[in-house]
Amino acid sequence: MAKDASDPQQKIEQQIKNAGLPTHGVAPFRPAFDKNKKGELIVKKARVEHGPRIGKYGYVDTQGRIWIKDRAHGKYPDHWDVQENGGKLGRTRVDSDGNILP
Amino acid sequence: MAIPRERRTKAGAPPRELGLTAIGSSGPWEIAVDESTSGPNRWFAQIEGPSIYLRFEIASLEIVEEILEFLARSAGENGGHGHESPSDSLAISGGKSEVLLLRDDEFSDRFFLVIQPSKGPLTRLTIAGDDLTHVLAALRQVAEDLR
Repeated sequence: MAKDASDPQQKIEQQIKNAGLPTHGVAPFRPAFDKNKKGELIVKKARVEHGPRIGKYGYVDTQGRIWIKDRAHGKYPDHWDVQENGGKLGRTRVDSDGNILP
Repeated sequence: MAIPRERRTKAGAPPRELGLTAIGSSGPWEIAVDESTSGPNRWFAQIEGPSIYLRFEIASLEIVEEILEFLARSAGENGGHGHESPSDSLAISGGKSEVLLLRDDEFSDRFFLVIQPSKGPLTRLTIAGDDLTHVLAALRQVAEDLR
């Protein structure tokens, strides 16, 4: 079904889908929200301040973690490096189905 | 006392927190437009490809449609005579870095994104072939998201 651009909830769901963030599984992405200048809810993004991902902006979840996309490398497929405390406490790898990778 | 690298900020630097305005993705390419949520209105483009991540400020959201039109205008090979007209480039930056999109004068499906900060190294990204197809598809999603 086509997205209804006038529905903020559908717009955000479509954005999360376009980003490839997992919406199910044991570790789904649950967005933190901010408001734009028009007062509309928007998905919050933040810059990683520590570690090898420093400088990149990712999607903030309800726990304040920053989701950064990472390409397949080594034994891992494309996945998300979920930065704990802005990258200061390392990261958790989550695949596109919301599974935590070892 | 030295300031840790992660704490250094410059005047006009992007805020630490932004909001997602629009996003599109195709294949290994993702293009997002983010906006400031406090202070003056500012917008930032984020382009991520298989081995590159770029972020720069844009002047307004209207630039997305202008980029789409610029990329979609493929005139075919022109023989590589090096002729340059004003429509062969598009300035897309709204910040301190100069960001230019250049049309190749040799192949119609090849473009160059050139980022030149007032100080610092020049970055030049070639967009062609399958990458161009994906970038265009991602940009169309961004434009749709902005409507």
